[in-house]
Amino acid sequence: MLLKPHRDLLIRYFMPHWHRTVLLAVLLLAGTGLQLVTPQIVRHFIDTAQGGGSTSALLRSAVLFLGVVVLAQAVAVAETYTAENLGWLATNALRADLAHHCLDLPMAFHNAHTPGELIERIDGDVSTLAHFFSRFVLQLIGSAVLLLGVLLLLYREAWQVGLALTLISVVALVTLNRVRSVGTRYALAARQASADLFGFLEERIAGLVDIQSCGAQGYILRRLQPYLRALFQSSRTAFLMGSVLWSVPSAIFTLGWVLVFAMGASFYRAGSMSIGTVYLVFQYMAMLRRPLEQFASEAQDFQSASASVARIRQLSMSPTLVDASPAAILPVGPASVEFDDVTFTYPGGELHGTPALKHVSFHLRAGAVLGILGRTGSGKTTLSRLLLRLYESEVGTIRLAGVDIRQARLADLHRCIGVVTQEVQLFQATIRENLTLFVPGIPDDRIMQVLEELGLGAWLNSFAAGLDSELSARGGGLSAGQAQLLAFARVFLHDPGVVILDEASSRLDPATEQLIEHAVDTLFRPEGRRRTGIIIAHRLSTIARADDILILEDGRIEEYGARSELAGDSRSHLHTLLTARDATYQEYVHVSS
Amino acid sequence: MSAASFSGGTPGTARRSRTATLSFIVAVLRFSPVLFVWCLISATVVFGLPLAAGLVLRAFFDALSAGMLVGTHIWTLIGLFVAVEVADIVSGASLSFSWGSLLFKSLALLRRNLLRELLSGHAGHTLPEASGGTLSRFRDDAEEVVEFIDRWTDLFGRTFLVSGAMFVMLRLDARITLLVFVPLAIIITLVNLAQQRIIQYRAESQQAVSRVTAFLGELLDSVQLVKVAEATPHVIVHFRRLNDARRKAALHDRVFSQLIEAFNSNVVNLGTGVILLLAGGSMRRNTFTVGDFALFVTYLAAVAQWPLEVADWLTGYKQAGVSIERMLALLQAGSPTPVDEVVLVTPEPLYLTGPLPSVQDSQVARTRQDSDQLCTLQVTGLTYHHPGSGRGIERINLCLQQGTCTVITGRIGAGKTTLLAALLGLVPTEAGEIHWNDVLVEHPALFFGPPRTAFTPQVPRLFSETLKDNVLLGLVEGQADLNGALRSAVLERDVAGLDQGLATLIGPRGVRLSGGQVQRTAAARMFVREADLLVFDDLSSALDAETEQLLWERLRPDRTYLIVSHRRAALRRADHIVVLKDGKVEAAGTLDVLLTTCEELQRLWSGDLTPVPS
Repeated sequence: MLLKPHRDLLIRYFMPHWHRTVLLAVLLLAGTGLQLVTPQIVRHFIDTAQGGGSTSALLRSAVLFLGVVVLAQAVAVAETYTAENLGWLATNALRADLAHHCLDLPMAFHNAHTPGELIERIDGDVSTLAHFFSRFVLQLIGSAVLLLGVLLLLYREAWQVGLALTLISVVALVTLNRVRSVGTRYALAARQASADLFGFLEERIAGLVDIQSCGAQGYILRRLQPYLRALFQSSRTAFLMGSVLWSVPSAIFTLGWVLVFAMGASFYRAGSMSIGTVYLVFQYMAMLRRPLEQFASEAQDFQSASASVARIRQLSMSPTLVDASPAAILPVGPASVEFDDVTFTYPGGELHGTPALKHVSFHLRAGAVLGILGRTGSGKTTLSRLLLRLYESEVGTIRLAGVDIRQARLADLHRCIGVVTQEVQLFQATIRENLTLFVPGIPDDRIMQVLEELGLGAWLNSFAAGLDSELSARGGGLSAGQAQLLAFARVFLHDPGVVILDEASSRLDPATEQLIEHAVDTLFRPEGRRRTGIIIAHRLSTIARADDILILEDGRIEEYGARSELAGDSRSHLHTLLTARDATYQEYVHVSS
Repeated sequence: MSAASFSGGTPGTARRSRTATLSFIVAVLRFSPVLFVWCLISATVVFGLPLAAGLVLRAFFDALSAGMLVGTHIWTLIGLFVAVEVADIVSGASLSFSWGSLLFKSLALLRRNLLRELLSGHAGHTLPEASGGTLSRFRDDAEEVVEFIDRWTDLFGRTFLVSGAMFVMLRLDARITLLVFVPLAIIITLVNLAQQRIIQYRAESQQAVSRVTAFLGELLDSVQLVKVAEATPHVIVHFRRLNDARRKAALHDRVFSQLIEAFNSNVVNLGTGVILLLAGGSMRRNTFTVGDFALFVTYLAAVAQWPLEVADWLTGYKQAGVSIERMLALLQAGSPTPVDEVVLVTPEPLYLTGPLPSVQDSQVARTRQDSDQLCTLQVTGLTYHHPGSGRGIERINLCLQQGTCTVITGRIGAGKTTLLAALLGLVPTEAGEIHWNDVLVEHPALFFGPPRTAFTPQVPRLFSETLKDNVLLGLVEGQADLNGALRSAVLERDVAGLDQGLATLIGPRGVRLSGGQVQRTAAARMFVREADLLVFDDLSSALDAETEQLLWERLRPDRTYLIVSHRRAALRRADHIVVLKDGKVEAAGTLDVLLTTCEELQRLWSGDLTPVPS
């Protein structure tokens, strides 16, 4: 009955909770047993009344009936609690695993999928599965046990009735399985429409300011319409198909009732059944219908669940980078960085299919600082992404401390390198968690010392709860510069041997930039811990401390050499930049000279 | 600073009347009256059929025990029974289809109106949660409200069934009927007493859901950061914690509802037990037949669902109220005036079937009027503080003349971006007035925008659409100077370099643009709007020197500019400079004057940060 992907998920996420599962099974069996007993009491009651039995015997039956009913209910409540809890525990584990897997997926994957879409995968689809875990499996097993019990007890009364209703049940089940696959298709379409709608909304909500300042409200509402329509039409179809599915056991069971009516009448006239027994058969017939109807209604959930399982599998099967084995050892501390004839094109035709980097080679000594210049889109950021192995270059080799980075473990590589990017991401979490990125074991003293060094001490003191204060959504109330300083603080806490500053100070005013210059000085100061640095900048002031300079143009190296040499060479591009009389460049001259 | 401070401060909460949810639902229904009536009719048939089934069953057992069941009689009864079952299947499909249509049509209306209102409020005001949490208002809260309608149709059909069943049973045996329904009445009362707790559990549960989705959203926005910091296992630990909090909240919520439900369904069996206790004597005397018993048990099962349906309705009513509140709180956070929930149910053409209107028709282009033409923009006493940090701007005065370039500068945290946000109505101001050509601007959020103003935020967002659609954002291609805008934004070389040029898909799902390209695309988006006043927040921050120079050179001299920047090139270009410090205007004037008189500007200009002795 259960398809393999479902079974794999069940085993993987329910095994850790086997004791709860066993408890649930016990409750389930007890509840079913009590359900089967009640019709027997009613049969006894009717036959006693019809046969002129004593009033006290009738009263005893009625009281027994009530007692069983109350017990059955208590069991049902315990069952609900256990099942809900189990469902949440199991699916929360799945959510965490999926989120983990998502974070491990390559950046190319994330460029192709919006956060809204992935939230729908990790949370929306898994919630559908939670329902599947806590209801479907439970009711499936409960219904199966009830079905078997009813059929066995019917055989006991008359084998003809038992056989007829067994056949009816089998036909109903087989038909259900047949139509199931049809329904999955419609449910899948509806879920896709839902994911598309929320992907669209997610981006627009994030861009509210942009939409308003362009006066594009009407346009965005117009663009919403196709998404609403797709969801409306696909969901309505899925609903209708679900209902048709539901009617299948109904139709087959109508045939069952016809048989029960006819057989009951005939057995009674033949004298082989009492009126109480005919009533008992009717009751069991009614009980037989319920588990099968449940199969049908759960089949609706099963369709959504199947669709969800398919999508979850698709997500969890997306390949992550596999670490080389055995992994090469990367040294702690400053390391040399070498690009050897690296050419790279973004996957999926990104950046118009032409290489973002072409035949780039350079060698940066351990402990030295490389300044990279170039206009926007010249490949500066790509270079740092490749070094971090966020993307893989197929052509050429990148070495860290002489080791091909493809030979090293990704975790080791990232331990060696710290990055400050222009975009600073903040979480709706405490300041401490934002700085440590939830990594435990970093002492508060160390965090506060780093904030103090970066000139954020006063800022921290403005919060009553200190490091425990929550930053609001998207870092609201924090200026871009403060956010940038927090990003620096993260790198300081990380304390890597190689640091990449990617346009890190471009959004800061000169006054605040001084604070960061000071921080950068500390990062690269000769008497402190030695670090290799790569500073990607548009401005000459930021690379004043560079030992070497590399100028990129359209993915190619236009110029590369020691800063002092290039600055002194009147034919060099750097020299032109430094001595430019143009107003824009004087700014750099002022700082650099 | 946290989400709680927003929901606590929502002015709409206290004034909400008891009937507000009801009239809200009625307004939703009035949008699709035909579908709703169709649903009601289908539900009446679906729910009414067990009445007929019970009568057939009674006839069968009575005929059987009287020994009268022969040939044609039995087949007539069986035929009737089959007819009931067939009617059940057909009416069930009809109900599914009509309900599915009603559900998703109403959802479409709510979601569209929610987005429309979100778009017309103060966009820059921090949303209650990150966008993942906002998304759950669109998804879960909208569904909660609309699914409440399902309980109406169920209750309607069930009430029809109950009336019919009571009528039949009272005529058969009034004593047993009344004695059986006493426990039902007690249960209804108990359930209603328990209702109050559900609201609280539900609110807590939904809050926990929002925390999870919000964090997930932030996480997926920060993949590179988390990867490089090798923090994945640790952020997952935090994610697990949030999930576990949600499990507990959901357990409270669900188990409590289930407890009430179990209590209700228990009534069937209890009722059967009561019938057994009462009917013994009459059955021995045959004044209460086995057929009567069969009918009573059948009807009891159907009737006993009624209190459950009522309880569901009441629960749904309160849960829908919570969800309406949450949607309103989202809008309230960005609204200058109290938000009326009517805006969420305003009828709108949804085009769920048939041809879609063209994109052009939807963009009601505001025709330029003479009064739009900027002469002077006067800002007096503008004040705003961020709700969390308390930082902001205080009593800012500013005057822009047509055709001039004004640069706002100052160090980090001086309030430059906040000033723009307050001026353009992206956040609600606390005090101050804005005059456009000497006319007071009542609602900056509604007033500012093309053709009066256009704005490029500090961190622009692009959408997963083509480059052209991102720039035009709804403008008609032939009526806008697209090439001119691309040139002004110094983007023409980048466009030429793209394989598919303007048709290239960009944004989160498309081609990755560099930070500078994103900024210049946003600038093109601003230039193409031909607004009188162009406002840039730190536009050149991701631009290299050459590109920045070109950008400043290409600015059209006939426009008015308000620019936040600390770059020398911008300061040189300025006709007027306003220096902000700690949220107040420190000095204002021309560069030459300020360089000699304003210490703060001198410091910004030279990048010197030696502390000033006090």
